[in-house]
This record gives sequence, C-alpha cells and structure tokens, in this order.
Amino acid sequence: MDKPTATAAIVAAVTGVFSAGAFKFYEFMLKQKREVKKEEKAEQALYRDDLIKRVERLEQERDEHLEQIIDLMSEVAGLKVEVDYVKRENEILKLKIDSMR
Amino acid sequence: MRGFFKAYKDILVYHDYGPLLLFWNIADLANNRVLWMSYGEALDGGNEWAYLQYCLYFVVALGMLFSLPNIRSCSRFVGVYLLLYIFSTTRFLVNVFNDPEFAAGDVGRSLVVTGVYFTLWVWIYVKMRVEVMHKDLRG
Repeated sequence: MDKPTATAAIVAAVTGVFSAGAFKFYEFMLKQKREVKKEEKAEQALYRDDLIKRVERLEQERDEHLEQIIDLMSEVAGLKVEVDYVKRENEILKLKIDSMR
Repeated sequence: MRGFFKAYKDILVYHDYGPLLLFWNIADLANNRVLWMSYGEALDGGNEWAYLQYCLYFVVALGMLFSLPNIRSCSRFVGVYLLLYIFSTTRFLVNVFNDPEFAAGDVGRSLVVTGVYFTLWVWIYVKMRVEVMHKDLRG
C-alpha cells in the first residue's frame, strides 16, 4: 500500500469512527429529550386526572345538595300550609272566646 | 431577502431526499467506469487501483439502489459510500500536495465539485440517520 492510499484509509477510518460516535451521542441526546417530554406529559396527565376527579366529586356534591334543597322546600311548603291552618284556627278560637264573653 | 434564504433553508431541512437519491443513484451507476471500461484496459493504463475503487463504488451504489425501500440498510450503504468518498478525496488531496505534476492540473474545479458532492452525500446521510433514530425512538 503506497503512502497516499494508507493516509486516505486512515483518514476515512478515523472519520467513520468519529461520525459513528457523534451519531451515538446525538441519539443519546434525543433519548434524553424524549424522556424529559414523557415525564412532562405524565405530570400533565396526573394533573388532568386529578382535575377530572375533583370535578366529578363537586358535581356529585352539587346533586346531593340540590336534592336536600328540594326536600327542604317541600317541607317548608308543608309547614307554611300548617301555619296558615293554625293561624286560621286561632282566629276562630279568638272569635269564639269573644262571643262567650 | 431573509425569506428567500429561509426558503432554501426549509428546502434543506424539510424536503425529502428519496427521489434525489434514486435518480442520483441511477446516474451514478450509469456513469461508473466499470460499465464503460474493461479491467484489461485499466491494467494497460496502470489504473488498476482506480478500477478497483470504481468497482467498490459500483457495488455500494447497487446496494443503495436495491435497499432504497429499507431506510436502515440504505443508510448503511450511504455511509460506506461516504467513507469511500472520503478515502478517494483524501487520496486525491495527498497526491495534490505531494506531486507537483498532479497539482498542475485542474485541481480547483475538481475540489469545488467534490466539495459540493460531499455536502450532498453528508446531507442525505444525516437525514437518513436522523430518520432511523426517530423511528427507533418511536419503537
């Protein structure tokens, strides 16, 4: 092998080795970036799931409170009727006592 | 003006190399001296090493052409082609610096053309390798 050929072979081999190393390094960097992105996504998903759970719980509580309000309203309506009846009876009794005097 | 240069940058970054590689490959094969010269003729001219080099180029170019649908294999052939290119360019440069008769020829033009071709092959190789890497990472 003459001198130019040997020099060229060495240069080609060294370039090949260095470029392979550079690509390995680039691959490593890409993997790292991807891992960071994956972690960020997982965190976001965790936050989203937590929000969904909170909304579900709040909706359930709201439904329960609505039911309670409806029950209370019907009870209040019943009590109003009762109070009106008692008031009317009281007026009648008052009139009866007045007429006895 | 900035937009004009950005358009060129976008071409280099986002456009695909596939059709270019296919046509370049066919042209490279058709232009190879192995098809147009016998080994005997090369031997008579004292160019048997150059002929051997062209044989290697021919084999690698054929490999590239047939492995074009498989990007992983094709990128390996392109890598070997680039190494051959570096080898022959370095050999040429060593001859230019050591041989005054050789240096008297049309060296400047050859170097410019070689530089442009080298950039082209590096661009294709880098694009392929990056694509393979992204495919590997996606799984």
